[in-house]
Amino acid sequence: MKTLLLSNINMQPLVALLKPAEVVCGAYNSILMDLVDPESPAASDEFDRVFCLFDTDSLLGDVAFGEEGPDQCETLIAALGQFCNRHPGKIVLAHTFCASTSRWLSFADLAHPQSLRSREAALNERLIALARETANLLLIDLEAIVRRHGEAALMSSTFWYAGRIRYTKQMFRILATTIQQALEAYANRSRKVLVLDLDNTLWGGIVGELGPLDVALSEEGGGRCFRDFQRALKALTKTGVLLAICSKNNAADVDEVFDRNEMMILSREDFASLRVDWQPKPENIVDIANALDLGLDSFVFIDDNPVERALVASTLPEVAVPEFPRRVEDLPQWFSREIVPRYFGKYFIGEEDRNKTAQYRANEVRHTLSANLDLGAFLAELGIECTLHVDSADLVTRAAQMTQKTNQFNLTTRRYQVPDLKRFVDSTDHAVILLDYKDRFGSEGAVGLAILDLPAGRIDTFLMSCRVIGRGVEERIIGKAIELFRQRGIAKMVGEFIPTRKNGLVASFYEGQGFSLVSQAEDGRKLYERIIS
Amino acid sequence: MSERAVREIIALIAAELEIPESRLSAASSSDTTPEWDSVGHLNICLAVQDRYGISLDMEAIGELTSITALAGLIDKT
Repeated sequence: MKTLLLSNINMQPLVALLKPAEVVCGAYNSILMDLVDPESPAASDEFDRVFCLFDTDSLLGDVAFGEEGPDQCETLIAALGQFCNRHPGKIVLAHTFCASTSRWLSFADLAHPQSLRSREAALNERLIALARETANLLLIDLEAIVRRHGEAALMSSTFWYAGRIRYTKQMFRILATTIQQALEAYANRSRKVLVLDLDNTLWGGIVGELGPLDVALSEEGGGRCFRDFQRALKALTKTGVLLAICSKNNAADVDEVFDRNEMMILSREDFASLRVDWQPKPENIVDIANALDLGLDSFVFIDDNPVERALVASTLPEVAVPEFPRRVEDLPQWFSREIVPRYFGKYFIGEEDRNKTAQYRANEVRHTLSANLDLGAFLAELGIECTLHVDSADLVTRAAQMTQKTNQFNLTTRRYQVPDLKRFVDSTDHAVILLDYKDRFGSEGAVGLAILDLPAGRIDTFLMSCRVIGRGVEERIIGKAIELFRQRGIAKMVGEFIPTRKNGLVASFYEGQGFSLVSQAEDGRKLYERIIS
Repeated sequence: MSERAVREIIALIAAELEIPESRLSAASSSDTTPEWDSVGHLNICLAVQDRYGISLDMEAIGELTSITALAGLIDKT
C-alpha cells in the first residue's frame, strides 16, 4: 500500500510524520496535471492512495486580490471528481478550501460582491457535495483545524518565502494525526464500546456519600461540565457507539440517580450494559464484553481514578485506557476533541447506527466468564505502603471528619466530634487507629479508621474510604486491633454491624474477617465475636 | 559553542535527515553532508524552531547551514 502526496506547495515535512505509511511526494505544483493526465503517477497502479493537500491562496491566485477571472479552484474540484470516478479502487483524500485571513478588501470583505469569504464558502459547498456523492473521496475539514489552533500558530511566512512551506511543524503534526484518524474512520476501524465510571466521571462527587440529588450535575455552576459531558456521550450513541457502566457503588444508589435526578441527560436505556457492584473492574469489563459478544480490542475505558485505570490497562491490555483530564472543566472538550476522533472516529453514519444500543440491549447474551485475570500480580506491583497511627493527637480533626463523612464502608456509622476523638486518644480505655495509604500513583492520605473500646474488647467504629477497597487495607487495621486487644489481655474481640440506608456494602464484612455471628436484632443489627487468644 | 548543544543538534539533524549520528561531527555542514539539501535544511530549521520554541527569520535560515552555526544559536536560547 503506497500513497502519492500531491500539492501545489512544499509538503515534504509531512512525509516522515505519516510513517509507517509509505508516502511519496508528487512533482512540485503538478496537482492538477497529475489528476487529469491518465499517464501520470497518480493514475498508475503503484499508488492506491492519493492525498491532495493544497494551498488555497495559491489556487485562488489573483482572485484573492480582487481581480475577476478564472481561478484554479473550480478546476481542482472538477479534476478530483473525474479522477475519483476513473479510479474507484483508489482512496483520494483531500481537505476543504481554507484561504488565509489576509483580506485585500479589509472590512469590506464581507459585503463586497468579490468577497473572498463568500467565494471560499461557495467552493466548499461544491466540494462537500462532490464528496457526498463520491464514495472514494475522503474529505477532511482544514478550516476546523485552523479555527481550533489558530492561523498564527500553524502558518509560517518565513518558511513560505524560504522554501514554499506554508505550515509550522505543529501544523504538520496535526495534519498527520488528522489524516491517520480520518483514514481509520473511513475504514470503519473505530472502537465500539465506551465503558464509563460514574462517581467523578458522569457526575461530580460520590453518590454513596452525597446522595442521588446532591452529586455535582447541573445546568448552572460547575456541575454543568458533567452535564455537558453527558450530552457529548448521548450524541456519541447516535453514531453507533455503545455505552456501558462499570462502577463501584451500591446499585440502589445508582438506581436512585437514574430515577430521581432530573439533571441526568443519560438514562438507563442509553447504556447497552450496566455493572454496578464491588467486583474488580477488569472482571466486569470482561463480563460486559462477553454479554455484548464484542472483543476487548473494541473497548475504551474512562475512569477518573488512576489506580482503576492502571488495573484495567495492565490486566486487559487490549482495552484502550486514556488518561483523564486534570481539570474536570476540560472534560467535555477533551472528550469531543481528543477521545472521539482518536477512538470513535466515524466517516459514514447510517440509520442503523442510531439504534445500535437498543439492538444490543435486546440481544445481551451471557457467555461464560473465561478471563484469566491476575489481580494479585497487579496489587503486588502497586507498591502499597500503609502507615498505622495509634492515638495520634495530630490526627483527631481528620479522624472526626472521617466519622462524619463516611457512609458506605462504615460498620456502625457513629458520628463523633473533635472533642470526642480527643477524649478517645487521651483515654487509656480507648485506642484510635488511623491508616495512611499510598501507592505508586500517589498518597491517598488517611483512608481507614478504627476506634477500639479496649476493656470491652469491642470495635466501636470501623470505617474506610471506598477508593481502597480490595487492596488488603482492611486486614491491616484488624491486625492492629488484635495486637492492641491482646496487650490488654483480651481473648475475645467483639464487632458490630448497624445497618443504615447506605452501608449495605459491609453487611457481611465481619464474616469475611473470621468473626462468627452471635446475634441479630430485628432492626438488622448484628453482633459478632472472634477468638484472638 | 557548548558540547551539549553540539550533541543535541547532531541528534536532531540525524533524525530529520534519517542518517546515523556517526556521520555527523561538529565540523559537518550542508556542504559536507549530501542528505543536507535544501529540503533537508528546511526540515532541520522547522525542527529547531519547534524544539527550542524560537522563531527563525529568513536570513537566519540562509545562514544556519552548519552544526557550528546551529549549536551557537541554541547556546544563546
